[in-house]
Amino acid sequence: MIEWLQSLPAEWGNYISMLLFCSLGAMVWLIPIKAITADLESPAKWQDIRWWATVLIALQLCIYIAF
Amino acid sequence: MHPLDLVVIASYVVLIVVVGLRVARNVKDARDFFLAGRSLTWWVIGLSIIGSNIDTNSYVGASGNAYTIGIAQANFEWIGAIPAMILASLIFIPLYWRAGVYSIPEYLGLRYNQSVRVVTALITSLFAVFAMGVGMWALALVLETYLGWPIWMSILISGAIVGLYSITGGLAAVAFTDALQVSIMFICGLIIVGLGISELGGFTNFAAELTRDNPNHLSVYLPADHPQSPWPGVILGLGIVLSPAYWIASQAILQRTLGAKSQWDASASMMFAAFAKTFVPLLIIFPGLLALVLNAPIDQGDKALPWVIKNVLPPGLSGLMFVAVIAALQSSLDSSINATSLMVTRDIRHVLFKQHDPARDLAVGRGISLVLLLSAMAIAPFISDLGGIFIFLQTGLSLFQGPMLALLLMGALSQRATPQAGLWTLISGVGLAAALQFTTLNFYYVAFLSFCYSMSALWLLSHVTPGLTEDELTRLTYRPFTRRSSS
Repeated sequence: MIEWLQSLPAEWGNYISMLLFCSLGAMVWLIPIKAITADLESPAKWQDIRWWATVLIALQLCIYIAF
Repeated sequence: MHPLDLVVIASYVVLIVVVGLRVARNVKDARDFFLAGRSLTWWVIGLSIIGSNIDTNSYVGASGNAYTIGIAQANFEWIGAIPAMILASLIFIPLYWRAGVYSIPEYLGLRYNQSVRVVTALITSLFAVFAMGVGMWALALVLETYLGWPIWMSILISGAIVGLYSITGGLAAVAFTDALQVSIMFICGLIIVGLGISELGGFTNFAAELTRDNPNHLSVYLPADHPQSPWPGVILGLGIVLSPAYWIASQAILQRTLGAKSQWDASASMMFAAFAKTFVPLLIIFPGLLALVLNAPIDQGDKALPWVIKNVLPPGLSGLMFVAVIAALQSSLDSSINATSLMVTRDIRHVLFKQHDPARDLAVGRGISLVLLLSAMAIAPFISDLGGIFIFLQTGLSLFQGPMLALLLMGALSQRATPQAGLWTLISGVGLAAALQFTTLNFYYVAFLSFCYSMSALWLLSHVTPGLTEDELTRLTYRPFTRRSSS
C-alpha cells in the first residue's frame, strides 16, 4: 500500500487532507451539545465550541486549497 | 549585543521570576502543585499549551527546515496538529476530566491495569529526561552564540531560573509564565513578519522571490519520494499516529487542561490553543523563508533564525526576539519538569511503593522536580557527543506512540478493550516498533505500522480476556449518547 501511495502526485496530499478535515467537520456536529457544556448552568452561544471547531476547520481548508 | 537588548533580556528574567514566585505563594498541597488547585481559565491554559509545545529545537530547527524544504514544514502545525487537537478537545479531555485523574498513565491504569500505568509512566518519564537534556543543550548553544557564555554557565543559569519558579510554584506558576512567554513569542513573530514583508515590498513580491529559485517552497506537500518529508508518510505517520498520540497522550500538554476550573474550560483551552497553533508557522517557519529570500549568507538552515534576528530586527527588538527563543525553551522545560515529577510521584511511587504517604506528595514532588532538573543539566553537556540526537528523539517517539495511541483510542471509544489485552499489546507493540527500526522504513511508516498492529492485537486479544464491569466502563469510556445518572 505504501508503494502505491508513493506513486501518487503530491497534490493528492492536499485532496486527502481536505477530505479528512471535511469528515472531521461532520463528526464535530454529531457530538451532542450537552456533552460539551455539561458543567455550565446556562451556556451562551459562544461557548458552543463546536462552532470554534468549524471555524478552525474552515481555516485549514483555506490553507490546503491555497498551498 | 546592544545595551538596549541587554536591558530587555534582564527585564524579562526579572518579570518571569517575580510572576512565578508570586503564584508560588498559593501552593499549599499536591493538588495545588500538580493541578494548580483546579483553578485555571481556558485562555491561560490555551497559551500555556502552545508554550509547552514550542521549544527551542522547534524554533531553531523548524526555521532551518523551512529554509530547506519550505512551508511543507508547517504540516507539523496544520494536518499534524489541528485534527488531533480538535479530537482531544471534544472527546478525550472531557473523558479525562470526568475520570478525575491527575495524569494520562493514571487514566490508563484505571481503564486497563496498574502494570499499564507504570509501564507508560516509566517510558514517558525516561524519554522526557532525555528530551529535557536536549532542550537545555539547545538553549546553552543559543546563549553561547549570542552572549558568549560557556556551555556550562548557560546550563547552570537557565536551569536555576527555571527551577526557581517551577519547583516552588508548580503548575500554576508554569501556566502563567508560559502564557506570558507565548505572548512575547507572538509579538516578536508578528514584528518579524511585518518587517520582512515590508522590506520586500509586499507579500506578492515575497512569494515571487521565494518561488523563483525554489518552486516547491510554497507547496504544503512534497513528492512521495522526498527523503525528508514524503507526503504519504506525513499524512499516515504524522497526521494519523504521531500527532494524535502527542496531543491525546502527552502528559506535559494535557496536565494543564486537568488543572482547569471546569470541564468546559479544559475543552475550550485546547480549541483556543488550536487557533493559536494555526498561526505558529508565522513564528517558526517564516524566518527560515525570509532568510532564503534575503539571500542570507549561511551554510546551514539552522542558522536562518539567528541570522534574521541579527540582521532584520533593530536593537531592542532583537533582544526581545532573543528573549522569545529563551522563553520557548523555558516554557517547554518547566512543563516537562512538572509533568514528569507528577508521573514519578504518583504513577510510579504510588503503585510500586505501597507504604507511600499521599500527604507527602507535595514535598516528594518538589524533590523529584529538583532531581529531574539536575539530571537534565547533567545530561545536557554530553548531548552533542551522541550525534544525530534529533533523529534519536524522533525514533524514540515512534517506538511507543503507536501502541499508546491504540490503547487510548480503543480504551476511550470502545468497551471491548480489556486490561490483559492492553498490557500485552503495549509490550508487543513497542517490541514490533523496535524491530522495524532495523528496516529501511522512514520513522513515519514505523509509527503507522506499529499503530495498525496494536489496534489489531488489542481487538483480537480482548476477545479472549476478561474486561471491566459496566459501572467502571461508564466512567472511563466516551459515550455521549448514553444517559448517565452520575453526570
